[in-house]
Amino acid sequence: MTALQRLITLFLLNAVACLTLGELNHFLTPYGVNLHVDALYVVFVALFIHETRGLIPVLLIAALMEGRTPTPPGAYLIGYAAMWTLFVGFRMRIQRYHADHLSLLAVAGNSLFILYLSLLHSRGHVSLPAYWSSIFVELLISSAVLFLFVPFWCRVQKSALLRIGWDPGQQLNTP
Amino acid sequence: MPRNLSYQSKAIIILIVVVIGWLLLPGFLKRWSQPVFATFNAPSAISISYLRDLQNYWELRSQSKGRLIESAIELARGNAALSLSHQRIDTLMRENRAWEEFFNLPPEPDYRFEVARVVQRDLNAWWQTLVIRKGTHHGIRPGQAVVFTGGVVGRVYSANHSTAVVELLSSPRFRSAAHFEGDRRPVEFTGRINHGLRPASGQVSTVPADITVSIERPLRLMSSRLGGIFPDGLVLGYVYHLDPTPDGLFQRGTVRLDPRLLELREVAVLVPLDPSP
Repeated sequence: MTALQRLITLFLLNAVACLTLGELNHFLTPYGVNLHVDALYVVFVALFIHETRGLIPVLLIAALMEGRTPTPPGAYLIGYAAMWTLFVGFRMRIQRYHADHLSLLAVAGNSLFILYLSLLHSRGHVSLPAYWSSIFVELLISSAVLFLFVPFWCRVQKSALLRIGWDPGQQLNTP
Repeated sequence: MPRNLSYQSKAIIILIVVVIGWLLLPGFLKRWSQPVFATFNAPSAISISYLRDLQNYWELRSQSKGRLIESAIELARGNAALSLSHQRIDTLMRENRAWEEFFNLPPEPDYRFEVARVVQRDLNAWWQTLVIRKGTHHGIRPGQAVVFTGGVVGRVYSANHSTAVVELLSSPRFRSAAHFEGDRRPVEFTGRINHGLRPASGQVSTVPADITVSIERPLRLMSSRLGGIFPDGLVLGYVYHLDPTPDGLFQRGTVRLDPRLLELREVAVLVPLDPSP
């Protein structure tokens, strides 16, 4: 299997996660809850794939998100690329196989991304406490879900890559 | 890219290239990108929606015959009542047309109801939207009104070939002319920032100072033709409390919206029969 095919496999896995999450949000609307776990689609590729081509599945997922949301064009493409760069910067500073480190980094990256979207969509509401309190509630719930789910999702992606004959662990020792 | 650069430095350079590349991209390509991404998204969203329908079908198949017969009887009763009100509406419309001709008035705009299934609901602090399973192929265009049995849902924000995005009336970007039931004076309805874990609400402003409401006697807020989007008399919500504005000329208050807005499965788009050029 070529490197591009492997990256497409990663994209398809994350696209399924993205659709599943959209479906979950659909059923959570009567309870006034909405989950934003964008870091979930970026963290594994950034921390475990030692190739700059790892950005390809991230940008494809960003395009998928742009089509699903009424954001200004390019908001997700730039936001996801920045989140990928942030995670890549931390790959040698954290213990990637430690579940808590992984989850905390994902939560931090996700919180920054939510802050970026909040400022982008503020439309003059920046000074309103109601705006920030509503985002804070969503951020709290999303962070809790993300913290619990990131290690599992990274394991799933890793085992999927092992099944197609690619061990991302082999390239980890190189800086 | 130089080989002696670290992986992290390469990542930063790539990010800068992505940002500059996007900024330098011509405006028409940026605007074009979103509908293209949405079109690529549509098959997956529609497939999931059909799967949901299939799930509902099998759920209904598991109901007992007795329950289905009961439902059929209820439906027959409902149909009989609707048939009677349909006849009454026909008579009223004929009468209305006769008066319009008599007074030489311009006719009221007429609509076709395009019923569509809700594919996806996405309600958060930034946007409150629904994706429906019909689009430009069915005559749906941005700006058209969307309704359900409880009144106004919102308006079409964008439309693709087979799907459309509907902005809910609870969305902070939503704004419309309205009036209270039994009072023709126009007021302004706007969506607002809705807190998570709470039912959706809107806001009414420029309410004349002589209008009074209370918890026991709330007022119904209706849509107005003045906005040019909605026909007159569709329910927007209920107002239980009004506060005077600092200048004392007007009042403003919170509009409680129908809680069913958060669990809509089917809506109708009002497609004008004689669209203005």
